[in-house]
Amino acid sequence: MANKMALIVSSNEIDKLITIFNFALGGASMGMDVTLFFSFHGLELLKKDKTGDSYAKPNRSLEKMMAHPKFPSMDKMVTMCKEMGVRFIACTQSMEFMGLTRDDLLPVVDNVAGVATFLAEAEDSKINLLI
Amino acid sequence: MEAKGPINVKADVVLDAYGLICPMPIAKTCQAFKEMKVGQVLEVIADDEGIVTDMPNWCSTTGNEFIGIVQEDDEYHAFVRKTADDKKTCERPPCN
Repeated sequence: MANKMALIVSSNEIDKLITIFNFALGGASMGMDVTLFFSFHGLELLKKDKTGDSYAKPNRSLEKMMAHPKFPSMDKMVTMCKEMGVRFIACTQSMEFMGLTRDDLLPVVDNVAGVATFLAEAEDSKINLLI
Repeated sequence: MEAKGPINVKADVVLDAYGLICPMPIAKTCQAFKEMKVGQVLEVIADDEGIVTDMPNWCSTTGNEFIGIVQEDDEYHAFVRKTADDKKTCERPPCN
């Protein structure tokens, strides 16, 4: 197995997103090859057109804490992940369900792919997480 | 974990990660190392207590040398020497 980590991003609940991006940044910092596979509501984060909120806020106290400058914004986490070579894959099946095309997604997406691509990555990864 | 000290080493580069929460001190350490030469010492200043165990673990995983950590009030000063080449320390080409 390679020094890789594969994470599934299927929710846009902010506590899950923070956890996933924390792991992704940590893994990349430790020299791991990290892949995030975005499905269903995880795709909200990658949409160009963010007319609504790109993530679901669980409660007001967490929202208030996140406004504090010591907490990096999701945009900052995404930017840092890209700087550190984390790969973003969007699930084609979920895109169909959500009515999205490749053009609806931000350029941070490296490619769109199906389950075989993810499983090939997962099979080769030391760490696989669904959070 | 008990903080080690005193540290008799002079840092070549200082990274101020004070006020940043995990994983930022580690992520920024990784980014700072990319700009440094093998053999140079980085001092990371942070107030996130996680750095006390994270920094030695990050070093052992990436093959860099953990020199030690000292605490001054609410600040932790971690000293690490770059001993691994960039391939091991998160040097990956950005993917398009």
